[in-house]
Amino acid sequence: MEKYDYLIIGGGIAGTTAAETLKKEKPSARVAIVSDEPYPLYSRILLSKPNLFLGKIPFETIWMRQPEHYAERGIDFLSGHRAEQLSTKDNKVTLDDGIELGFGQLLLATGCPVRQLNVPGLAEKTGVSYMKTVNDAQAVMTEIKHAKRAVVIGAGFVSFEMCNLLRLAGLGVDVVVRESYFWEPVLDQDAGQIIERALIGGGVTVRLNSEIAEVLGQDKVEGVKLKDGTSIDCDLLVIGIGVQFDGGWLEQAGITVGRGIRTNEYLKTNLDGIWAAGDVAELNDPAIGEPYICGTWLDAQEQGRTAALNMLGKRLPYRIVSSYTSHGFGLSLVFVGQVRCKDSQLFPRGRVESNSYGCLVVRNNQRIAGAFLINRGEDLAPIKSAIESAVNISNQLELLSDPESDLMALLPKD
Amino acid sequence: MSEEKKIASIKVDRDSCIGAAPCVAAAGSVFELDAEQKAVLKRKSGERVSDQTGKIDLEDGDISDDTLLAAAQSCPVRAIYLYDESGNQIFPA
Repeated sequence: MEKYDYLIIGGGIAGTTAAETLKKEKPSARVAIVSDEPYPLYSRILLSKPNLFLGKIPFETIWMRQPEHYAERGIDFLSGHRAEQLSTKDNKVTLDDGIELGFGQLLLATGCPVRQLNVPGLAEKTGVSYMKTVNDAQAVMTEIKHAKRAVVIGAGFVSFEMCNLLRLAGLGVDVVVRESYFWEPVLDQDAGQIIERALIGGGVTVRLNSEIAEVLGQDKVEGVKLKDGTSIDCDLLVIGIGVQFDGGWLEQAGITVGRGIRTNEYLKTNLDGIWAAGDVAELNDPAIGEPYICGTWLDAQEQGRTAALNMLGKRLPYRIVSSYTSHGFGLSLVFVGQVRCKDSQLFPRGRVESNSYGCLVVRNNQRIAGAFLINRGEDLAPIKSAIESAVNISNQLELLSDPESDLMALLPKD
Repeated sequence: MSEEKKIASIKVDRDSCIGAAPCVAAAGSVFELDAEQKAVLKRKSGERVSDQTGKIDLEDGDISDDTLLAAAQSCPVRAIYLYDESGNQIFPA
């Protein structure tokens, strides 16, 4: 059995950054990455961006490492293998083909699988994509050359960005949303309606309160039937209904999981020597108070780096506040910090009528946890600073209640 | 990628930039995020712009081509463009 000092499961930006950090800091260490995709690191977020999708930049720019890069850095890169079993008694991971790998320390940076749509007629049809992998994107890029109509399922980043791309590519688009407004319950209803108006203005048919009953067609998708009986013709079906953590194999090994792999603020799991990073990690930081997942590229990269340094004996808490921006249909959508917060208060910014709108997400009337902003980039910097410095806003509620107030006033004066 | 060509100017495509900021981590003397969390170039003149900027007009005019290329390559949305003396695009390519 091959034994590594540091074994990393997952070849995305979190796992890759961790491996590179480990080799840089400790060149003598034996480091391996196990990746279930047969490719070196690529930019997953570029998959649904217009520049790549519509061919404005060469497809090859998606690759962020060359295949030979890993060996050059002294990293064993085991691609096309899926980790399936973990034994914490003898510190080993078993791969799908039975290969066993021993480890001194283990980093779980697997990412989160997409949530699968489970309806009759979907299985084994071509013309269906979840837009998760480079293969998915290439298949859709081929389809759109002759496809006329697309149905997009879900209301989130993938769905919003794909509606935009498919319209830019000249397809007719219907978006099918189970909820009563777009991006419920992450956004408030006002924000959801701004996006709906923009989608409709951009030629998308928005179908709220709608669920797929069946996918139609023989070998290839020809349409969908909704639960209310409506049929929609399409030759392309894109599904973006979120992710679903699949941690059964880790739970069996005694790792505490929730919506992801539970870690402390140092990215360590409940078991010594086992760590997690990227969007599979659910951080339980006493300074935050409730477990949360960071889903951005920067978070994944910096968690990979932080976890690696902590594996080497440092004690660095992960407390970066990151933001994510998405463009489409004349809107610029920004999420910063933790937006999905139950039991939080929303303080609106700007005005719905002006299409410059957003909400601060506040917890316990004390602390800004995050915000979403539509065409309001100017609010981003002060909000980020306020989250980073954990500003207590309990005496500032009046200021926050004014949707046009200057948020710089929240920040400590220096 | 033709690494032999010398970098003469740089541009950030603001419409593509998502503020992920690995460019700031890779070359903090050249890039920073502005109030909208978009990457801007730090010019010698004190200006902060995303527009095409000559390398000699950067605050850090001595930055190595390797570092600039690493910063451009670290951008997950390929929003950083590099050009040679004749104005030809070196990256992304």
